[in-house]
Amino acid sequence: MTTAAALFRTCPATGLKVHLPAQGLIKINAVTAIVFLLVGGIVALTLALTRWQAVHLLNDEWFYRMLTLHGIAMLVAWIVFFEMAVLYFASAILLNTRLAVPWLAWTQYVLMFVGAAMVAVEILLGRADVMFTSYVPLQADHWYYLGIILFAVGAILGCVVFFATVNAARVEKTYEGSIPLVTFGAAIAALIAIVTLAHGAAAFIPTWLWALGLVPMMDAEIYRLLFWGFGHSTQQINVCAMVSIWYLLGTLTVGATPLNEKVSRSAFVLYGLFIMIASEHHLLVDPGLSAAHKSWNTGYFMHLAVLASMIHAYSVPAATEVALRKQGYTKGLFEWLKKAPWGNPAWSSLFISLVGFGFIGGITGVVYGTEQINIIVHNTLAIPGHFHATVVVGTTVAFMGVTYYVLPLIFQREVAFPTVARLQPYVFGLSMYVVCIGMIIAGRFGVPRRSWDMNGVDGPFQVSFDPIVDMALAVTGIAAVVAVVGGAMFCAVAVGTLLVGKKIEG
Amino acid sequence: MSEFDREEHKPKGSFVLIMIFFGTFALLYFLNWKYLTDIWKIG
Repeated sequence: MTTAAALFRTCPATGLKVHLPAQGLIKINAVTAIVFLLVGGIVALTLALTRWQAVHLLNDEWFYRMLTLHGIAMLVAWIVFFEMAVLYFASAILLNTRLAVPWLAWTQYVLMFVGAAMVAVEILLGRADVMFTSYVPLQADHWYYLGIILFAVGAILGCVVFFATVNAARVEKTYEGSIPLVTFGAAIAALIAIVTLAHGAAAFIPTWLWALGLVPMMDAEIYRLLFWGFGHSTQQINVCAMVSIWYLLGTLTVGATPLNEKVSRSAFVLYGLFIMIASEHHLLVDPGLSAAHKSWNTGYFMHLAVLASMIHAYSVPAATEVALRKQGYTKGLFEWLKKAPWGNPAWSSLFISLVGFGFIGGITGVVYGTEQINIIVHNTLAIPGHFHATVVVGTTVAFMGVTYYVLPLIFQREVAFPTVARLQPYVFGLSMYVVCIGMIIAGRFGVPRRSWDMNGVDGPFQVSFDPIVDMALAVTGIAAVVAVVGGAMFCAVAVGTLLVGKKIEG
Repeated sequence: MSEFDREEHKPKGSFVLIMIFFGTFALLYFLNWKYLTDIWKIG
């Protein structure tokens, strides 16, 4: 008979009690996430080499097909599978408890995997060339929508398991005082996820019925409203999870503790209350909503979520600064920064993520999300420039950084190829800075997003751009190639660790 | 006095960094409004 104690092991490095069923689920979700990252990265290379006008790799059909696959693989599969791993880690591992209802967690995994695989196959078979947004009246095969619904249901189950685990820890008193800040942030992320996925169900279940021929027509405006409650809000889950990871990385790398936990927790609550409203900026040029409605949501309420980001933007680096100053790096304003462990890929990931998210993704997000200014950049390449800074430079780099701790703790292996690991955040993160800035510059000169034929060569009239656009797109393309190399370095370290990493006992 | 309250442990560098961030934010916000007024003239 298996005893409860036999289901746990203690990590020799951190002292954390690791529930073995939770460990298995963290592993499988993280590995699947990295597989989708690899797929999305390869596809990203083809897209970057197509938007680089001098190369223009794919034909129009495959460009839109790959654009759809890239969006699904990166924005949905890589991120949400990894977030499931984060939720199980932040609950079972950080609270020293058992994962509640592991069978439900396995159901989460199976549903999400089957759903994501169905969607990917449908796209590759050319039956869903509708891009990530799948705006009606564009119609994909009904299996595509069913795949997304299965994926969303699976993710909801993951959130349920997370809350059940936190409750089990509370009842069994496996922690003292309040839950850790990282778990608190993950809980807010899970709450946002449930609301987000409910929007996804509201958007995709009727669309699925429409694709089956059971519903005559979908209202395009209502679809857009519901879709963005899902499509952008999934990125708000990322922001919340990413900030939680920032705090975790601060603790793991330099032993930082938040300067004021109550303020940091309040900032997470602001995310929970207001960040969903930021989705409204996708609808700023839609005719069905009033100007007052748009202005209140993007001009006022959204800024309460921005305030939360401002709090974290100070709190995270300040916490690491205090920790490093306590280690003796007290000279001047920046000795702590100079002497920080820049050779630790988790630390460099934290800072590259923090700075890139704030300076590129955050500022452009607030500026472009303002109703009046949005009209300058709406549907231009500047918008992908903004969200690659948030989702790739911000979230993905942070997730990569925490992986360097997850590998020894959960997979019980020393990180393989340490030199590659040390360089990886710089190669990937800094080249992505250039990709984002290149897209923003091209967008500010009017280059449209999601367009294979930006010059209108096959259209009724041709469009020409300032010559600087050619340079911006070329620089973007070159930097994207380097970023894909950086992504491949991450996958090589992760896979290499699993295959040849030295086993850690304990 | 706790270690946290000691002058040399206060996060002065982060304060400078965040001020640079605020300054960049305000400048880019202003430039975008300025650009909007240039391309979308009233009257």
